[in-house]
Amino acid sequence: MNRQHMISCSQTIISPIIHELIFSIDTSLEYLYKYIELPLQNIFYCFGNISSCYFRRRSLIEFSRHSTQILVQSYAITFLLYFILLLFGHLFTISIQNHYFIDPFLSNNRQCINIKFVRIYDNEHDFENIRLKDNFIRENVIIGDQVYRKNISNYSQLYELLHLLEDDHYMICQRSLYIYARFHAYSSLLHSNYSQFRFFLPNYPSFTIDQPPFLDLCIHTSNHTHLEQIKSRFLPLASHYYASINVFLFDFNFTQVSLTLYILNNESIHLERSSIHTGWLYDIYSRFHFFKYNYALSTVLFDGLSVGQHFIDYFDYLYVPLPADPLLALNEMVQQALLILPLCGLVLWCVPSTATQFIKIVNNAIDKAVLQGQGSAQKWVAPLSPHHIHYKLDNEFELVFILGYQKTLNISYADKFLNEIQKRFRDLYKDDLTIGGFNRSFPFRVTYNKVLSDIEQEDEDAKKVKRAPRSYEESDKKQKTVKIVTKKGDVTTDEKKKKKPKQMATSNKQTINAVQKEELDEEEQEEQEKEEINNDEEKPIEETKDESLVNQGEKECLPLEEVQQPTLTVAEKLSAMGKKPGLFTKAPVTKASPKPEKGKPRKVLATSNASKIDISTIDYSKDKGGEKVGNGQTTITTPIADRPEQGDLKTMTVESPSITSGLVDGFWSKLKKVNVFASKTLTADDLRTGIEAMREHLIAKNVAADVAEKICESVSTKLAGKTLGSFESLTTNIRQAMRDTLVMILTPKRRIDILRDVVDAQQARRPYAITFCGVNGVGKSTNLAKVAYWLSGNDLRVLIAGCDTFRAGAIEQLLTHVRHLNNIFNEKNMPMIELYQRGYGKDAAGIAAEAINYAKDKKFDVVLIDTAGRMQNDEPLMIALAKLIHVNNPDLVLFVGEALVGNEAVDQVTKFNQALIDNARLHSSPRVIDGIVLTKFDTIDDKVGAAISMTYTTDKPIVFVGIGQKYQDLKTLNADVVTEALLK
Amino acid sequence: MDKNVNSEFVDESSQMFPLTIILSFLVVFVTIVILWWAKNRHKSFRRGECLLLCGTSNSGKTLLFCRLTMGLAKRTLTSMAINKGSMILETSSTDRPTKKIHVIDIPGNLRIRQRDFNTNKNSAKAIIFVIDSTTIKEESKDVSDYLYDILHEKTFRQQRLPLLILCNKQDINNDNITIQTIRNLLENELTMKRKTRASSVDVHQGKTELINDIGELGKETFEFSDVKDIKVEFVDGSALGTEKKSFADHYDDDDANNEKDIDSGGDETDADSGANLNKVYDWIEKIWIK
Repeated sequence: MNRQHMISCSQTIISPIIHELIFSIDTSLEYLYKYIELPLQNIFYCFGNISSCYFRRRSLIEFSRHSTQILVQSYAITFLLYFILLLFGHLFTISIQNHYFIDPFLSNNRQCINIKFVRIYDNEHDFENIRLKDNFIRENVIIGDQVYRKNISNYSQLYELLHLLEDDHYMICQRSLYIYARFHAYSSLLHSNYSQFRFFLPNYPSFTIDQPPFLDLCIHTSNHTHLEQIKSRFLPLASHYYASINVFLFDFNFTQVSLTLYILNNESIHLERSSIHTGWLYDIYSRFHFFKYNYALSTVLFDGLSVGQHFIDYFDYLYVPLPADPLLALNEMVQQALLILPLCGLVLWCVPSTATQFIKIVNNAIDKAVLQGQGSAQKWVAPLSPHHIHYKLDNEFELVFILGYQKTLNISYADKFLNEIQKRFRDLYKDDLTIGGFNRSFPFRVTYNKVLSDIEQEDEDAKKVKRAPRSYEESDKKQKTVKIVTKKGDVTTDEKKKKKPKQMATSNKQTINAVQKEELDEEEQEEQEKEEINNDEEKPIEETKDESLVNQGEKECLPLEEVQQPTLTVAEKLSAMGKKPGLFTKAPVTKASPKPEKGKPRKVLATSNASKIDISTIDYSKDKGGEKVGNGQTTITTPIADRPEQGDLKTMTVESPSITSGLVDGFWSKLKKVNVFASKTLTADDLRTGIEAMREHLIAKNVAADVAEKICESVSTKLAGKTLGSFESLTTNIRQAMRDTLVMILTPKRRIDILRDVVDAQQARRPYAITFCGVNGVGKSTNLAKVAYWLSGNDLRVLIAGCDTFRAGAIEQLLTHVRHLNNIFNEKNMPMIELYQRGYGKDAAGIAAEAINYAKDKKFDVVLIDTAGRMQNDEPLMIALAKLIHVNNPDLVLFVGEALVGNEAVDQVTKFNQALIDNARLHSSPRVIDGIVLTKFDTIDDKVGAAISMTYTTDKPIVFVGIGQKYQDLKTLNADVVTEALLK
Repeated sequence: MDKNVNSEFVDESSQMFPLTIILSFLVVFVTIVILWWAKNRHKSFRRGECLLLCGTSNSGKTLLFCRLTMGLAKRTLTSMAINKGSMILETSSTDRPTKKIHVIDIPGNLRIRQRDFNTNKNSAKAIIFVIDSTTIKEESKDVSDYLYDILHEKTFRQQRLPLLILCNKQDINNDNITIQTIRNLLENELTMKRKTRASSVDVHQGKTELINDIGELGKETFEFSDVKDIKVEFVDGSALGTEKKSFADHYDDDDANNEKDIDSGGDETDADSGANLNKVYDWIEKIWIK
């Protein structure tokens, strides 16, 4: 890009800022003098007056002067330094993070709220007929070659420029640039290849444009027909000159902007949709004292599929499609349980009928899968339950979406469904979620059904499977459920009305009204309709109010010329340009209101066309309303899609806040929005490098490679979507999440208290049996001796069963241990520790059984069974081990592993576990490893990865760690220490 | 005279300029420290002012949390993160008719409760330990394990915090387990726990903390009345209680059969016999409004 231009830009933008800065410091100094220095001096004067000595008084006064002077000066300098520091810090973060945060500049006073219509016609004359608002022209900038970078003054110029766009220029409506930039910043979520191009803002030199091979257009529209026009106009252009044209369409809603991206090229027309929070949410949120404005700004939602997949046409939701096979659908509805819950455990919404029966399974799943964070698979199949559990974490709002269904159903679209549900749910309730308002109901059934049927439909289409028509009973049943649902749904709508009477109720009612007038084929919809009619009859007042809204909406939905006319008349009457869009504000209302029930946007349009309401009367009333507003207001209001009071045009327009169109207004107000104070949402891309480094680090610490991979994945899924506070860095966040995960993995899932269990065994008059198994040379016998030492130290009589009938000298080794231990505990009359052995070559399982019986007779408290070391792939020996364990059923099966192993650790424990499962006796639940003894822990310094590998793969706790050769060197694992060592 | 002072002042202040710079840096430093402190302070939630809800998994903590903070009963699942909220306590005192109490609900899952417990223990002013009365017989070991940790906790003992043991789910208490049975059960378990904990294997590289035994020294058995540092109280109640109807209604689209499911458990017990949270409220009131 042009360097000269950049310099001039920087001059234009920087010099006012500097002026601002100097001015503000001046003012602040003045304030400091007035309110701090003078009072302080006064206080010192007082002190001086009190003191008797004249000389002292003088010195005191002087001292006070000096000190206050110094203080004030230092504070002024501090302020300056501090803000310079902040500024540099901010610039630095901008430069290192590839994110374009232009909110501080653009979101100033809700600039992005303006709704403009760029209407493109084939006929140039139409443009001349349209009187253009000044601010619209001013705010749209053509970017491209220097020659064309000029502000346009009317539509004909705009039209000209649109023609000129053929030569690598493209136009961006500056107002929407904010949103566009936001979209861009998050487009990596959708497809990373978009991050190649950047923005150029004439006033902000930090943005550049790399010549895009495609054309980007930002167009505000409220009407599908406009879109069609635009499409038809640009499609030939696209195939001719450009690889593609990206058309960004903005639909404005109360709470969000949905951005529709059409990618037009000769091959396909793709559509993507995303919804974006904008600054005006501030109005809604400002009522909550703890709301943070930044949250709203950083909340970006994408609601669409990436390029190349099926596209969802936002405008083509004509009806709620019924799945091809209602029987199956019903089945699934019953057998699927979808639960949405925040991490803190409240169920926000669930498919009701199934909730109770699923709760146990889901609890189990949470225990096992979600908390453990098993990779990013987000799917969990209980080994014994007949259900699949899919889950999805939403880190931004800390939600978990859980979907459970019968294994037999084999639903292929579960993930897709969950994604869709997540998006919808967030769309609907993000306001409440942001403020943590779980204290309300979340009517979601309608959307849920719709999404379900949609996805099913898609799935069906994909499969191209013809299914039999549904039976009568089934349809009947279904009707019934829907009926109930709608009833309750309405009830909750009323509840909501009390809390936030603005948007939801209005929008719902509106759609309802629209639905009411529509002829519907679907049975459920008829049912729904009836319910709604009843409901409406109960509240006639509201309906009329809604009617007015609908009318306004209809007006907007009418063909363009008709809409334009009244607007112009109002425009003529009002001297101020900005007032007119007060009428326009209605447009997004109608357009976007079906958001909660996306199925019916068309209907609204259709109704408006069909009913053919007398336009002139509406126009008249409209004009009046506009006039009222015009008279009532002295200040110039700006076009803003403010959230309207229910059907009350006057209030709404009056409420529309004033806007300062200048970009540089007030240094302080700008600073408030600088990113230093803002937060940022993490994406998978942001995390990638950090996570990758973390993975390498873990592997370097001897964590098995695939375990490290999985842990990193789960950390990444835990972090993605989280908002990053301003003073937090990415690495600390990753480290913290990693630390949490590791501690969680290392923390035992089950209480382990051998001594307590021994007491139980004593009461049952049987010995407590512990089996030690593991590969050769890991220190089974040594640690068995340590455990024996510890147990005898607690006045328990221990019998060691020498079941290593394989290795030469194994029993002699144990004998030596027993002798030593008995020397230590020799004060008792009878030996505390005894060895039970039957020589070599015998059946180990038999010896163990004999030993247990012997212990029972001789009143031993604990039997420690030592087994021969075996390699995990030694099939016959593994079978023997399994037999030993299953025959004797010891209370505790400990796997002894050495901390030295790396990748091998996983193989060892899994093979041992698997062998125990595979060789289990029929019709008995297989015994698996209950715990792990980690030996040679002192030899590995900080390469403690084996601890993680083993616990992660088996999900079993590390019961003991061996940290030396002495009998006393038996400890329990300290999760914090290990985690610290891992992250060091 | 005045002249004199002024000239002196001017001279000295010009000399003092380096001092000003040093001071300004100092102030920067102080400001940063203050900001850092403010940020950190924000993190730890109201040190020593909160009501902590502890208990093993599935004992009804989150439900109790909902009841206390929102006044509703919601359907809950295993929590995966702590719940924070505040409840409004209506008092009889005239000067301040309501009092805001912060409530923290610590998930009962063994894997995460340690961490959450440790991070939040400093914020506690009072603790409610929730026990599932229906499963206490099977879970007494786990419950007492957790309870031991709480009774053993140094910070709690030093501050002599009050502990309320709430025997929850009295509305579906079919086995007729009374407070006394639970109390005896726990005392037995804790007696055992005292012995086994003392002699358990040391933690690797852990600090060896010498904290006094939870019970009375030299006494074989443990009794709750022996606990001197922590004021333990037992009450029974039910987080679900009389608001069962609202629980069902709260879900916008619950089916009829669901409602039935929830109601069925509590039909047999009469609503007055501890099947609500009055005692808990009384206890909270007692602590917060002395």
